[in-house]
Amino acid sequence: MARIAVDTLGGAAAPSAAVEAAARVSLEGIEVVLVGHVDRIQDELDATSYDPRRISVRHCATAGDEPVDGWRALLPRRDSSVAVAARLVAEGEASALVTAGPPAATVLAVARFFERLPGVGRLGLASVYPREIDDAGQDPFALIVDVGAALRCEVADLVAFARLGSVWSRLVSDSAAPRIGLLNSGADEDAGGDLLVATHRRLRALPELNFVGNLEGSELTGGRADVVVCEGLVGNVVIKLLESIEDVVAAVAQHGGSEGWRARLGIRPLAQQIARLREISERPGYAGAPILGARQICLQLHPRSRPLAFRNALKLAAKAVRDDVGGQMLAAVAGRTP
Amino acid sequence: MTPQGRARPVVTFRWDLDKTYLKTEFERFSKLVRLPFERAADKTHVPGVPELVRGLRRTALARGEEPRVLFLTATPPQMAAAIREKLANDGVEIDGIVFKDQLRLLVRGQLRQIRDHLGYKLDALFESRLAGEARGVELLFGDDWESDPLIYSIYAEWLAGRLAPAELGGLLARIGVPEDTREGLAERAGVALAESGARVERIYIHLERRTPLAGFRAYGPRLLPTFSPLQAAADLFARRRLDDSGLLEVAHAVAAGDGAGGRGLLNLLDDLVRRSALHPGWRARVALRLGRASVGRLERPSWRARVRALGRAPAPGCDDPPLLWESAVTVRDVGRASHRSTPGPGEDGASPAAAGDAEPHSED
Repeated sequence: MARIAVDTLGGAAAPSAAVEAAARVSLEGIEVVLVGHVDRIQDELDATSYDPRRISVRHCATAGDEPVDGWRALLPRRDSSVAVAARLVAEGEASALVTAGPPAATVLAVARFFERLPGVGRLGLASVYPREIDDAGQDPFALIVDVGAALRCEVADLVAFARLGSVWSRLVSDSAAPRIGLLNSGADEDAGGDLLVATHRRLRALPELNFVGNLEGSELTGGRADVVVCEGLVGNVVIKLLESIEDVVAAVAQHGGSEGWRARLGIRPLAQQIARLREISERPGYAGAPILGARQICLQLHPRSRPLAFRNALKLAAKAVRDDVGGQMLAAVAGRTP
Repeated sequence: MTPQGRARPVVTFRWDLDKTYLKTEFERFSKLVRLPFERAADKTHVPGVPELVRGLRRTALARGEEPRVLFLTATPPQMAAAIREKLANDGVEIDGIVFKDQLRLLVRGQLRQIRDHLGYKLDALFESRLAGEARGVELLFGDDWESDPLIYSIYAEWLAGRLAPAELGGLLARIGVPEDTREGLAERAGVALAESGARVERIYIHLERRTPLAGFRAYGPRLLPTFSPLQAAADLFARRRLDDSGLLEVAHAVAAGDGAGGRGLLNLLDDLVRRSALHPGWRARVALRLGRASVGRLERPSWRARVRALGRAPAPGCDDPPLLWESAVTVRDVGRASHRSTPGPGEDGASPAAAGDAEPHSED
């Protein structure tokens, strides 16, 4: 049975969001190991319903985001909650890791403790964002890899991201052949410089991938690709820009509302659509996205995640373990169709 | 009497029936109407509870005590035959069982008394104590469905001599006990107990509804909310009220009936430790016994676990501070309200769309 390690000290609503979600999924049959301050965890558990048969606690008093100076900042702290949780997974005490701690600390912990898939050089931090869909049944969220784990990549890294992203997208979206796009400055095969040209050629030559070619910035929010592959630096800029749209919409609506009755009247018919846009772009409710490249599963949540996001992440992690996504990823990087 | 002519100390184990001993389903009307027609074979018990009842009696006898196993239920006496047969089938020897004669109340037109669970149970507890049916130290077992925590706590305070009839009357009025029942209870409460040393040692509340633990703090350390009979068994083992074989029988039954694997059983013990209800030394001792018996396919204990089990394990405390009634009564009402407002499985406070719940990337 899947047993998920949860870093309860990560995120803005720590530890209540993680503990509340863990308590809830324990009643639904999912087993969890809560990593964090034992007394604070028990205080949170006391306030809610839970099944103690499916909850265990590993005491740890240090959050992954506590400041560390100098060269130590480049190493995962062995006593931080995310590192303790990652070690539990690495040692087989748990099957997957869920955290809302700082992504940098999570990537370091995964790199340090998880078993790297053969042939994978750099880890890829994925993220999801809402987009339009081209056909019914298409997932209204696209996966983008990498958003900051590897600022600069080589061809092999981007190809690995495409393979692994495809496996993950199949799991989450129930799509038999997720469409892979390479984020680039132009649609031509020769666009974007040596790295992107070489990556394009490699991806096109892989029959097991449903590669749809280069994807321009204007196509990101469309339905052409289910998995967007890019270097971490580009992905990080993209995902932060997309996140800021939510704030821009809110600011525009607020500004309009303060501009007198004519503007308020004009905005009123759009209010529902604005609210819907905020709903789908509000990241604290998402189930999180994986860190790809390791044999074990790690889901990174938005730091402002609410209990529902944790709960969704725990269920998704349990499903990934149940479906042996780790095994599928191993097969994918070996070039076998899982 | 002992061979030396001294009376053996009595220990009374008082059990609620529905939801504590039996897995009675009366939430749905369809199940409720079937209850009077159920035979003994149709009734199912909470896994581990018959083993616990038997183990407690056996251990008390081995300690040279006289055990009294009493059941108290709001079930009508028309169902007595099936219940007695079920208990006999489970190998549970009882010294008394009180039913609520709802038909008689109906005939007499005492409709409020039919609904009044609290007054009925308290009256039965006082009555059995004054009649000498229950004696000595008492251990009470109930659940979180009705008002067992409050009923048992009132009874324990009365037994401890800390609840004057006038105070009891005011308290009962506040919690809605009908006036004539109130008067009878206050009268009984005023009768001085002939027996010395009478007290409630522990109250175990089985969390059938998974009521949040915070709601039970107001009842003090005497009351232990338990998620499984194994938790009650571990606490009773530490109090030397349950022997090794009783503990193992309960653990085997819980593992088989609940489907709790070895890790689930250990998690139940750890839960008690986190709640400061079980000393880590006792946890180690219980875990060692479960491991040695391979309960729930637990691995044989490592040398480290064996050493740990040799560590200090102080006797559990018998803290019995006076209850703060204001909190206890308020908590009872809060608990009821929280059950009404707690979303069921699949329900959420937020709308699915707002939370991205319906989307595949928000797997739910």
